[in-house]
Amino acid sequence: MTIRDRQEYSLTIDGNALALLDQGTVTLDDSWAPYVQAKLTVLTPVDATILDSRDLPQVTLKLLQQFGDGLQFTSDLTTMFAGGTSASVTALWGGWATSAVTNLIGAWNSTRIAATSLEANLYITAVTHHPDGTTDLSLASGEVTLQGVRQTLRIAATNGSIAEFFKVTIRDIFPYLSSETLVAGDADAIIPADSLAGIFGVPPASWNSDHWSLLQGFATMADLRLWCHPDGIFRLTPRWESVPGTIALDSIIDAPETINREDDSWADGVIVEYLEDPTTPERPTVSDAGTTTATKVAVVNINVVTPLGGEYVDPAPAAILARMLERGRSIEVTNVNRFNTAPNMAVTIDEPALGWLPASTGVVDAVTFDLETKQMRVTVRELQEA
Amino acid sequence: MTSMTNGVVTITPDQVLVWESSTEAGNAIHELVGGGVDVTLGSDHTQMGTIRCIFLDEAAATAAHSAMRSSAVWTLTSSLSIGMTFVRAGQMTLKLHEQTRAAWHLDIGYREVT
Repeated sequence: MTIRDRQEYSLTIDGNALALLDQGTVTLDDSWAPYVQAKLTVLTPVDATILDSRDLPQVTLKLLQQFGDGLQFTSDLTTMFAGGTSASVTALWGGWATSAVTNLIGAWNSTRIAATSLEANLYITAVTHHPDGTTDLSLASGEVTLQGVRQTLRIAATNGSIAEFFKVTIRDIFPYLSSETLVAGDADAIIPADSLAGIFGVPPASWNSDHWSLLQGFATMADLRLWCHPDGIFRLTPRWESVPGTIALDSIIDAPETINREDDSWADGVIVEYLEDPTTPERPTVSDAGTTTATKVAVVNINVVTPLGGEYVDPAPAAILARMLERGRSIEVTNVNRFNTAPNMAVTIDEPALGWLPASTGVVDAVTFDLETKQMRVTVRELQEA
Repeated sequence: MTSMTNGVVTITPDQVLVWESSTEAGNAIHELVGGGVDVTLGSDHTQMGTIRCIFLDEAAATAAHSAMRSSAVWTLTSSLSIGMTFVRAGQMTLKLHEQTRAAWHLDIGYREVT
């Protein structure tokens, strides 16, 4: 059965629309930072200085897929019910599941299919103006704001909570954020108070690493992952935390399988290296996992002095190794865009035409939405026969 | 009668001899591995093609050719049903009619803009 959809894209800066061309890509990948990276092209605005990447301007990207004429964004509801009361909403949607709001009115398909969307607050990191009146933009999620900063941290003594430390640090970068910079209830780990004394008792004069490396050093040791959600708010989550929901890949255009030991994301041994600090020679600079029997060893450099002793450092490479072992064999599915696809989401593949691949389940490793072809490339790991 | 203006210059050919218009579908057709297709619907792209104008006067023909070389948006009005706003796209050719040697043909490649 042919599925009919329509895809619309928009890009705004300070509420003003940019003329976004139907080309470019948007990638979500939790194996790199920034988590969201995009390459887009717009018509050069009259005042091109608003795109100056040296100012890290923030833009809002909306990707929307409809399967009929219907409501999509919450703002559509506001427009539709402006001046009304909640009773008017109830009158229209009474008896319907919440998902019906995102479903279709006047569907183009014989079955209702929920609309998909992705809204991302991104920063412009590079701009190229072309003589033909177009401008290429490189965009990235909030991690980029931490990656270039090396100023003295104004860190008060913390209670040993990694999450609290992150909040203080992130607020230091985003003083205009008055509310949460990390989502409440996210994962945490406690740093022993005695280990903190030498680090946070007195604000250091300077750090020999950028803020991102500093925070990642802590997160890695606690087997946590700090990342910036497309909504612009940072998350501190268990490294293996899955994303709710399952994406069914049911409009497959291609699905090659790759087994590649040269892939940088695969190794069967890991060494984690930290910076050396002559003032704290007792801090380890190296920890490893699996290296005695490994056939390929990956070296992960963390550009920060280890803030903790060996017993806290040792779990880090094991966690990284476990993740790397899941890679190396992957299937890259080209499917029609589904903008609700995200890394760490469960995925099902049931396409009889893929004779070599029985109905399977897996986990989304990364996804790239192509705005020109209207198709996405989904890298799937942990494939298991359903 | 047909005329084209950019707000500063107005061109009025003696006749529009040929009017070609084509559009490209905005739909994306996805060929699925299992056979069949899915479709992402999209609006047709704006029309494009060639307008062939005839001028009986050489000076008017060369003046029109020169004016059309400027970077401008043009508005076409016509007693035919071909009114639109357009910019030049692709080639433009000015040539003397081979048989009569008394008329000038100006072929203007165009792309409609909105």
